[in-house]
Amino acid sequence: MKRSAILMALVASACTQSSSSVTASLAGLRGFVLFDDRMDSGVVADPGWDAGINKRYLLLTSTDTNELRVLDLWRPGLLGRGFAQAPNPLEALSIPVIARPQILAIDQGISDGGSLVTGAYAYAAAQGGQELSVVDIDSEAFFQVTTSPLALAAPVTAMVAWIGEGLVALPDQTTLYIATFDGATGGLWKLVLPVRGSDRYEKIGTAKPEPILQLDGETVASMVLIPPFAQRTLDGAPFCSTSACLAIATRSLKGSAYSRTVLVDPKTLALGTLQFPGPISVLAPTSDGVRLFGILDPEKCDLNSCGGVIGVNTATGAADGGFPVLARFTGDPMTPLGASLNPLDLSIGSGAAILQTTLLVDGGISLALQTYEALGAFTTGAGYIVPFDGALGTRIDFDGRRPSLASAILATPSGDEDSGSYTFATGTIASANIGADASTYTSTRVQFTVTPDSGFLLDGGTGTPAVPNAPFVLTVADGYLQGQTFTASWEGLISPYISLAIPADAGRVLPALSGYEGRIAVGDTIILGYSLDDGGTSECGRSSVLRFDAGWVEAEAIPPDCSAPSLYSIRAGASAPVVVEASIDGFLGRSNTGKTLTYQKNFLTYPLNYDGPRNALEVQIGDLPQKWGAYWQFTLNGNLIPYQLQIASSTCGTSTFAVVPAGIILASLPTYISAISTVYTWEALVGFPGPSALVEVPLLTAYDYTSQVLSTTGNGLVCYR
Amino acid sequence: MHGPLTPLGLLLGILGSLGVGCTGSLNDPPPTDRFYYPSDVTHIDVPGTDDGMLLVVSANFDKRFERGWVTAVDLRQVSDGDGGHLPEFGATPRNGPVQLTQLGETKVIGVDSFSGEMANLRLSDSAYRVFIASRSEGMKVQGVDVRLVDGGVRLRCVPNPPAGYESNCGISAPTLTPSAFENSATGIPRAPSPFGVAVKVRQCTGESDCGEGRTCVDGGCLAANGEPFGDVWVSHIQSADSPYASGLNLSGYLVRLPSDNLELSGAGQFYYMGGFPTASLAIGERWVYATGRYAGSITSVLGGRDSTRDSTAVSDGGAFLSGLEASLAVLDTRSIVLNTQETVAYVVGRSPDVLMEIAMTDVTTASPTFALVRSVWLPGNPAQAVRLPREGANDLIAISCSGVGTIALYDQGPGQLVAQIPGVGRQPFGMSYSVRGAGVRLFVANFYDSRVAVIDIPDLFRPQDARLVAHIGPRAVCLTDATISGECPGGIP
Repeated sequence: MKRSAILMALVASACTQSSSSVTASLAGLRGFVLFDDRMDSGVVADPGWDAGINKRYLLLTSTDTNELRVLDLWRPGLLGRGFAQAPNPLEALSIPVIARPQILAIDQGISDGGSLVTGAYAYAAAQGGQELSVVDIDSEAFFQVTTSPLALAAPVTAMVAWIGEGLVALPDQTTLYIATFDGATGGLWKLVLPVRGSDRYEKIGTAKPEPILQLDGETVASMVLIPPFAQRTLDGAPFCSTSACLAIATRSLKGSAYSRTVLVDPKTLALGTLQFPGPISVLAPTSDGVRLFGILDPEKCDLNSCGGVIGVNTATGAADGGFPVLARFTGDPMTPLGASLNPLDLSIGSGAAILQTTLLVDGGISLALQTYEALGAFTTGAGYIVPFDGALGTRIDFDGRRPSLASAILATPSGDEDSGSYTFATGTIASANIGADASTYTSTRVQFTVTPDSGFLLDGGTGTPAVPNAPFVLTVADGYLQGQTFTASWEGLISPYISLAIPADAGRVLPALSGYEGRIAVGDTIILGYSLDDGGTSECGRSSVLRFDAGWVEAEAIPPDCSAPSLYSIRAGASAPVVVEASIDGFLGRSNTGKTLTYQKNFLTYPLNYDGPRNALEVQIGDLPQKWGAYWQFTLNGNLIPYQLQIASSTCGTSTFAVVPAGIILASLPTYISAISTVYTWEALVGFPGPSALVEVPLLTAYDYTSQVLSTTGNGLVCYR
Repeated sequence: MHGPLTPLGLLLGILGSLGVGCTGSLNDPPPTDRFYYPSDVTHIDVPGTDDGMLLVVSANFDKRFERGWVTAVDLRQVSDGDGGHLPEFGATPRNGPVQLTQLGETKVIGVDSFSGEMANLRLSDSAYRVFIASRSEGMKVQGVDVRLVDGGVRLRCVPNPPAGYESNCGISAPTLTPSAFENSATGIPRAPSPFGVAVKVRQCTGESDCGEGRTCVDGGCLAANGEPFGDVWVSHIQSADSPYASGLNLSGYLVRLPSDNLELSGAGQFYYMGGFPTASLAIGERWVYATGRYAGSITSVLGGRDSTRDSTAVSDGGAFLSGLEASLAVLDTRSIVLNTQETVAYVVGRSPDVLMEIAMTDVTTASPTFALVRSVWLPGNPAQAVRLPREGANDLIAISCSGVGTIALYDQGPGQLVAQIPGVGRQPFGMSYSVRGAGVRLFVANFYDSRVAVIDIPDLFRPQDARLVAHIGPRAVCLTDATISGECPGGIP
């Protein structure tokens, strides 16, 4: 099944390349939106057509020329896509509208079969403009239905249109929701327009919006429709379960703390808070509306990041808390993706499939098709298209290889620990002794058994072999761990209890950082000492942990010859003497020989052939010399490459093709092959405002693993401009 | 893609000049009745009047006339030739924007052709000094004293030209490509194609901060004649190569000149910024901010020079490059304005056409920080920006969008464009404004049609009410556009 899909994708790609650049003289591509044939148009598409997924047309702005264009995605009898033709077939169709159209909306609804269907009109407005155009989108004639645009009370900031649910036929009217801002107050308006009747255009010309919500000191930054979901509840009661709701992200003039994102039932005006961790600038729902993703406004920062993409669960909300941030499989909330990448726009493809490159161990490449319940993608200011897994709230691993252990060393101390002659002899383990269980490559985790070379490790100075018997066994799951080193040390120092300051009057109760109590145990060794003028430290005595709690550690006793220590550290004691620490992930845990330490965390990148949640790392603790500081060190190749694509600068045939992609839509698009064959493939439609170009990026194509830069010739990209 | 300064424009202009028997030739002095490729405009309040005065610098981009010039226009005198004047502020003209083709009695003074931005230093209620950079052969930076006297205005070059050349400020102005530097082994520093200009009164704690012959009064420097003294900072949109004419080792600088005499005495007034030319400037409390002009690859979105340090070296901590092009890969940056509190910088970018809102912190320290918080797509070919302050609220930012004849207004509060005024004219570029109660009257230099557009914003808290009310000056497209020059029977329309 997968193989046939790939083949079909390649066929489609080959066909579209025959017209790899299509022109309509777009000037100012600022917005674009997909739509289908009107639900009562009588157009009978290919039997494979799923009206809920596949789309027939793309409406685009040519903002600087005050017009719209239509890209016809499925043209029976013609290969490839093309701009809808004007009456003069040499020209692309122009739909003159209001000055500087940037904001678009399409009549949408849900059929009785649950499919997303298209209504009668599209709408165009300008940022800061107080008027809008209504465009009839019957495929026989795309045109603005009134000679003058409709006047509004204040400039438009966002709009969406909805024709209803459970539809068996095109309804008599449609509703356009318009968000406005007059400089001080935001407003939400409802404009009901007739769909039928010979005088419908005249009625549209005199239609007046009705206010339904006033937002003092707030403007609507983004607004999307959320389809009804039968099981959706707010505080236990049905909410937006039978009719569509609006998701609205506001921006408050009083500051980011007052901005909010809410679900609004336009019929009852009941509100449910969406618990995004900050103001949102762009919203994008899944097709069923059960998940809603947003781009955090970078104006709101925390210690670690500004901006990024994050999702909320819109299925079940509580009155006091609203709808929560999406939970990942570990149960903790999703954290923002791409916070450092300046995300610009966002789209979700429910059920989208993507062809991922798999790098084999031998250096070859194979391809694997992965289907995602909610494939997301966002564009970035640096010029990237970044796919992510919306269901798991993680980015995708572009590198199909599993993790591998690059090397291992064993360090054995010798000498007297208290004499100053304590030294370490290190030996590198022969690669033949790092055994990877090849059978585990088929799953997302790999097991490595590391056995030291016989006889080469000496207890320095004594000549006595100190070869451990039991090997270390590391089980590493793909997608969790970056390349880094892991160290398992006997009686190792426990981070962050290292060189902590002791006040002069501390006595036996030593101050400590709160929140790390789980890392230490009664009986652990306390090393006491002083700071030296040269920046070093000097040990003056030892004690042990008697008891501890958040913020303090009580020592068993302070040695008399160490009466006023200024520093202390804690080493693991007998209960669990082996400390495992990673160079990037930090403290992983402590255990003992013969036991297994497990480390859990969230995905960094979604791995190929994901087969369920795993522990990120399991370490079966082998033998190591039972002397302070003896350690094993393992160097891991994470083989993680966060999936991100970039469009080659030559794609649209211009030498200075601006690389910043703005808008993005993930969609399943039809391609006409023959009278009996239409192929459906997932594509990313990406708008580039610099050259006013739309680039179609096939997701079912083999990408250049090394650069992740896509080109027209190599990857079947098509440029429309 | 008609940038106001493109070679194509120059070519068309030359063709136009050859093909049309309109007035103007290389030997003609600057006319007093028109603007010609105006690159910037400055409004001056005139005590006792509502309208004030307009200073317009004409770039003379096709060199139709002997040189470029600055025109001082009494806005009370502009008319349509039929008794019509500037509309009352806030009124909506019944038949569209009023065409005020008659400038009335004007004063002009010559500057070199290919002018760029104009900066204004207020000396008193009745005295101003404007600074203009020109990209003609001499690469000069010129000053023009503007004195309101006896109900009129007097213009004078700074520094003073030799006797007999008093109306030609380029004669005595300093060049930013001194031959002594060109002919040196390295060929640098130089600042070819000076373009952006900004000026600010120099702050001081003692007279040594102000220089010989100047005084420090109330924390600000005064020139020897007792008028405010400041630093004039100049950018240049062409890289300096080293050695000269080699095309190698490209450099960009900011140049600092004293406002009282514009004296360029040595290389110590060239402040190195990086390997790219600088585009536009803004002066903060401590830092001078500059955008980077496109020079074959993505440039620096924002850099700065510490105005409190005299060193011009790059490695002494006195300069920064923000690195924000990693957040938004904009190919070229143009104008920059700071908000009133100097917490936000607005940078106009091209390819893509965008306004970048950049949050700034620690700007009075040696280590300011910057973060891109918003990117707003703009109408085609945005060029210049101007800040319109609002009482008790964030500033409005007006951006001239040359490619589509539109002025866009951005409001940081909602984070969106809050108005777009189309139909302003061809290639709107430099802007200035006069405060009118709760609103402003915005003046826009239309580079290609040689008029000044007048836009009223009656209430800055209702930018959506902004409207085009007038054009000042005769339209000169028949002179400048070869494609329609045949429509100019009888000369200039």
